[in-house]
Amino acid sequence: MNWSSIRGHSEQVQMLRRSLARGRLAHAYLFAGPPGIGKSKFARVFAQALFCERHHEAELEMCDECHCCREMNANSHPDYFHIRKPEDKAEISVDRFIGVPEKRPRDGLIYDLSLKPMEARRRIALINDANFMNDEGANAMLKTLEEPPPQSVLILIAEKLDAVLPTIRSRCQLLRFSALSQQDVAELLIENEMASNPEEATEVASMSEGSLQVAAQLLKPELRQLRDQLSKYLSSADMNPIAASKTMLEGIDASANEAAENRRNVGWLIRFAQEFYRQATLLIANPNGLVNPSLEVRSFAERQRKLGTIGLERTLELFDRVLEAEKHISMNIAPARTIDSLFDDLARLGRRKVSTP
Amino acid sequence: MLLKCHRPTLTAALLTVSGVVPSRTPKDILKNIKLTVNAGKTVLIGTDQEIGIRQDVVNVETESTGEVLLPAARVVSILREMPDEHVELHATERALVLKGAHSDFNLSTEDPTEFPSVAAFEDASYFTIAANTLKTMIRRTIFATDTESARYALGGILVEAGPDRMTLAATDSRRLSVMSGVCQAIGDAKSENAMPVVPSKAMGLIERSLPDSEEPVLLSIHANHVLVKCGGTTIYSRLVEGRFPRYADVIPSSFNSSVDMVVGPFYAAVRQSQIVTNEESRGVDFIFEDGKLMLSSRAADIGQSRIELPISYDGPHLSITFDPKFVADFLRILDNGSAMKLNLIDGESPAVLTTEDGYKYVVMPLSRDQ
Repeated sequence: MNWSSIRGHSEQVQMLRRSLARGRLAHAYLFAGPPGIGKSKFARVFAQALFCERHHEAELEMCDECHCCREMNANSHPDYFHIRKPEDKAEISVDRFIGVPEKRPRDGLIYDLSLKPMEARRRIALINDANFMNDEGANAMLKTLEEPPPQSVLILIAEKLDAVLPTIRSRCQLLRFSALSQQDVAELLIENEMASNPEEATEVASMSEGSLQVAAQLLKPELRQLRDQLSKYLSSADMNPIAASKTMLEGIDASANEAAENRRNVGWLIRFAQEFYRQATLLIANPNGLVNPSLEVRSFAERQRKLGTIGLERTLELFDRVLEAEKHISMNIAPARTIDSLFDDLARLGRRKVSTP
Repeated sequence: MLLKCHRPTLTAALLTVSGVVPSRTPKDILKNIKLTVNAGKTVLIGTDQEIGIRQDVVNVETESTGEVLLPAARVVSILREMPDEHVELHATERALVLKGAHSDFNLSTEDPTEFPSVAAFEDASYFTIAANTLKTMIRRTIFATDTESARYALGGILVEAGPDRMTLAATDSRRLSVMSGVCQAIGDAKSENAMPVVPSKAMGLIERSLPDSEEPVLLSIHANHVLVKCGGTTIYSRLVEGRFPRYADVIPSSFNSSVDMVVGPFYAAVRQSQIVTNEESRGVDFIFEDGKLMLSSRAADIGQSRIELPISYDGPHLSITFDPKFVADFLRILDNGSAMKLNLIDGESPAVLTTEDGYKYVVMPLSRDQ
């Protein structure tokens, strides 16, 4: 791995280079930014650049060939420690920091850091999912974060800054990462063979919020099917709200194994509806405004445009109603109820008689 | 790469190195032992990223050069079960074949270049010390290390090497154990670290691996690690980060009384006094009177004890309270017949227990109102 395997975030590289050139490498960093944008990969490459034997650390470059680089690529560097939340757990256990009870305190990250480096000039610890450190773990880390052993660098990575204890935040230098550009996401989807064709990649990228993780979710077949069905309902002139919400809720149940995932997919459904009306609005305003709109969006926009300004206003009203549904979901209203009422209202708004002047 | 090894020798060498190979680790590559062959010399290397061992293997016939990772647990089991006197090892890029007269094992292996490097003993200047001396020094200090608190610098033994004497010191802030012995500096040997503290885990391993003879042990202290070589085995250990207390300042230099004791009877008395103590009242009063030492303890809900021991003491009445465990720790590692000195100032000041051979043990008394 090297910097070229990182997409975007060149500003952050420059910032780190500048601080290294002035000999001001911080002892603890907090990398914050949305999920799926490569923060963790960035941190790994940063660590590798600090370790690389062939480049002076102020260059922040790596050869990818020396012993240290090879070890980093094989994940066996003895001075590199990596902690992350296990997939099946809700938080990072305090054991990772101070050791399992029977070995405390001669185990865990804090002990590892108390020893001198083995090969490199320094030790680097990467704590992924830092927002999932529990209070116990975070408190155990406080002293180490405040006054880490000399020549050690801690990198914490968090998606949500609010979820990181203020006492942890204040001890780290914050480095914010922004979402990837749509183009970057689209290219990554093709590079990693996640999307089957450029059109699909561009489309998913446009909804991905600059996150590869979100894009990966969108590419799941269940969600894609859900989206196709939704488009059909939204574009029909005479939508049956009961049938629509039933199909949608069934589709969501089939796509999710657990409540949290279910909820997230309802969120996606609402986002798909927003995207539908957004594209429709654009098309009504400018029939050539979109490259390759879907058949459903085009037929819906066509119909509304014939109504003149009223058609546009109505589309915006529908759009507003979908935005409201998003609010409902964030207010923890039951997903089934939110969807039922949404389709009911959408059908009603769509059926309203147009009084031609 | 092709090697023909004497099976029992290879097995023994692998077992030595296996001592540091972790059984559970997030880095799977550490479960391997690296075998390198260079210029006819075969070396096994294992590490858990804290301690490493390099073990020379003898009785190997080979003309190749190279390196291979042996999956430690599996190779050891295979070699143990094989009935043959000799075993052949063929190593290719991704596979390892172990061949006996009637069996062969084909194992897939990992890339040896990804294995962490463990420093080799290549120094021209170093310290040497007799194995049994170093062994004794470690045994007499290691128990005083503090392995239970997060003061990591106290979790190891300080190694101070000078041109002709080496001193080890360990403390948990309630007692201090210092032992020095004769060493020799070869070449321009000096410590690259002003305060080298070796983790007690590594010291324990060094103590166990050294023979009980006067065989010389080679020691070289680097900025981040220490290397100890004895015979064909080199032990590597990372040093502990942090400052070790200036221990020399807490050893009193003049005393009001100095009592000669014999270890055996004193230890027996301390052991007896320990029986009637509990967590809340751990203290035992050591009362020195003309010609006798009286140990008296009292614990709520348990009872009280009084043990008398005749000693050669003719000073004024002196009473001092110790945690008997700390005194017993010192006595346990000495021979029952050996002599020791108990040096006291008064009931509130640290006491120093010494032996003839340069061993000093400082114990803080417990406060009296407990």
